[in-house]
Amino acid sequence: MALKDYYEFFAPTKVMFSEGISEDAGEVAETLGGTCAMILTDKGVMEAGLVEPVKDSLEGSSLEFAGVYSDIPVNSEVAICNEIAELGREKGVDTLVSVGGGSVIDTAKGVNILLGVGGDLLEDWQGTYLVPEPLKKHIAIPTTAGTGAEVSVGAVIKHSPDNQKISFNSRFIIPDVAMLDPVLTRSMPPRLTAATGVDALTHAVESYSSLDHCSPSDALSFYAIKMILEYLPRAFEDGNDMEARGYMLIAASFGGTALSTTASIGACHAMAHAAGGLCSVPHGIANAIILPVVMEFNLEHCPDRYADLAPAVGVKTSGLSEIDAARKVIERITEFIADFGLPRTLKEAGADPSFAERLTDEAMGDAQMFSNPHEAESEEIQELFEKLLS
Amino acid sequence: MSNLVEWFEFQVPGKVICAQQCVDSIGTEMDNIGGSKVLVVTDEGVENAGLTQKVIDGMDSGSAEVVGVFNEVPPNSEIQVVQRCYDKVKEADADCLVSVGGGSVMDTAKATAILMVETGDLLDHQSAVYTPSGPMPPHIAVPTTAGTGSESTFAAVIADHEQEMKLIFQAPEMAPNVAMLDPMLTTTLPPGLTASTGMDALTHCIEALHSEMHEPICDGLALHGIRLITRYLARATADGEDVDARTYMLIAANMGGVAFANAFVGIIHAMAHSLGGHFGTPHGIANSILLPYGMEFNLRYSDEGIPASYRRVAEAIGLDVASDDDDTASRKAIEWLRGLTVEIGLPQRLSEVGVPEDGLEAATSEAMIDGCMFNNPGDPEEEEVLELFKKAY
Repeated sequence: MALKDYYEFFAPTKVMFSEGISEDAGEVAETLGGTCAMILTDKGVMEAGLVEPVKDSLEGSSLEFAGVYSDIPVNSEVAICNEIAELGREKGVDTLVSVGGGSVIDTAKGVNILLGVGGDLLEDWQGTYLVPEPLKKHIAIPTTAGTGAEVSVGAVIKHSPDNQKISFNSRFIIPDVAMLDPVLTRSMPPRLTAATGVDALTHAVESYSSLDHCSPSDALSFYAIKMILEYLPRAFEDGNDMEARGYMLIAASFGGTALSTTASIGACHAMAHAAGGLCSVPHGIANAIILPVVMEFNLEHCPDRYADLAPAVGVKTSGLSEIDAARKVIERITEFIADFGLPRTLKEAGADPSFAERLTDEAMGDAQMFSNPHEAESEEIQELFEKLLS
Repeated sequence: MSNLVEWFEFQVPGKVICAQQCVDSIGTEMDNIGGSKVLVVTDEGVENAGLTQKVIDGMDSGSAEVVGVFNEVPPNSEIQVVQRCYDKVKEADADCLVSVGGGSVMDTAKATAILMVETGDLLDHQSAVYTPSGPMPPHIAVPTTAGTGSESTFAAVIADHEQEMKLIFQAPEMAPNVAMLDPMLTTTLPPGLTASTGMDALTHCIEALHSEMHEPICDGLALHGIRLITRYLARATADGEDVDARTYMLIAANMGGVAFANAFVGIIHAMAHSLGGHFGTPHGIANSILLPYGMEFNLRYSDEGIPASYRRVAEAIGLDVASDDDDTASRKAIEWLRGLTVEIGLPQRLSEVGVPEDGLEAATSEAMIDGCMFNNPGDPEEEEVLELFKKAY
């Protein structure tokens, strides 16, 4: 195990887990000392009836309830953050409760910056560690088991008109409390379960091989992978398997903390961001397509890291050389992903086959590329994209 | 993996920094959390080893000023010590704390922080669910042993000799804001202390894993802690200057602390606390002797999934147990751990460390009412615990 020279581990979110725990949102908001709460969510989550119990609990608490904002789009925008912050300011909101997937939770992080320190998201706060002081309270309640946004240090929010994805990283936007309620993930259809679950798997695998990995991220990634390999197939087969749903939510949170600790994880994520931004390939699907290819690409640069994962993915490697052990791990992960029947190439996922060059430019500039286990050349990444687009 | 706990909460309120010589930048960290007049809390041994001075020198990297040093913390801190430390805070007009030492030093600082926000006597605020009435003062903890993990936990254990009890003060707000893990402060720790504090850390990991309150996040941290300790403790004990081994031991002790702060510990700690209270048996030594016996004892709780948990311990150690059943795998892990304590030169039996045989019954009664016992799986009977003490004797 190579030892990193310097690391910081900061994961201050209080994680609360239980079936039905979202019904306690009001009490939790009280313990945070807030006076006026607002729910942020999207239409799908609303229609699935997942917001009701959270709303009831907040209305029954000592906090004032400033209502539900449910118009957050699938890929949220800076303009939406501005709109919600305006509403929040009018009503004196000091507690945000986000109920949804990564887009909803990241939107709440953007709104929190505006409510807490004001200013302009794009001009003042994009980038890393710029927010100077603690913000308002934020309780995040995820409805998918994937992004880990409920515990992570970053927010990715799109800016129109050029659809650029803007990153905001600050220790102050890490949510105060993450409430993991497996009941809220029960209605996710199998394909979304698989795509979001593979997103969590990718966070864990890439942070394990990231140049920035450190012991705490190793611990979290390793056991996240173990849980996902065991429980994602069960959650995929039977959405009502509450034990599997529970473990997947916990594993996704692990992945989020690992990702948050390593900050930059690798080429797969950089490429998936590009495919999401330019070709609208959903993030989980893009990761599922790209991860096996990138692991193969990285193989000879980090065989020790991949081989180390053998016990987590459940393959026997005794007697094998390190590189052969690493190959077996990649094979196992590739098969594991293939079993969910997701698209195998970006072309199959609807990406424009002529986009290889543009995707490459975008991916090469993505911060996630910096900590790939070896420095990837632009031509190499383009080759990978071309393969996935043909 | 099964038996998912129905409900849990997990948190790590403080930031952890790890690097060789990271204490050189402790002043910058104090600026980040807003302290300006620092009281350094430490003990004489640490001070004489020159470690306290290294940390004080590091304060120059920021704008906070060291206004006093309190070096009177004994190996097991007590109420009166905390009071004297607080008197020093007032005398020096300090507004923040830096603790440099082992668990007793860091716990003294945590308890002193309580007096800095509350009025009245420390005993008025004694509670396992203490709620501070104001923001706690900034506190950076710098451990000089790799064992307690106290730099990231949110409890302080302080003795009260009048009541002959160890009191626990606990609140997430009590966690130091920053824990700085600097292996260069642990390279001079002698082999015996390296071994016993390391076994304390290992016991935290294993007890967090079999605790009734165990949950997947703590399991992950505890298992990784076990992976690291079983690879590096023997190295750190054999060669104190092995900086990689020292670093991994600090990290593992920290993970063990975070795991047990959230999942708690069980029968082994209950018994070790009792031995410490009655006979002054050092905590790490007591834990080390009791660990294999406690694990053997807990193997009976198969409904609670204990043999399956210990199989994961065997896997974390790196034993090939693929073709063994859970019970056999567990026994292999226990035997391996016994071998480790022999290799690092620790005593094997309570009779070797000054525990009187006729004191075991009193130790048993005390262990039965220790809070840790309630988190052990199952419901150990008094006779069973006495028998266990006798076995370890």
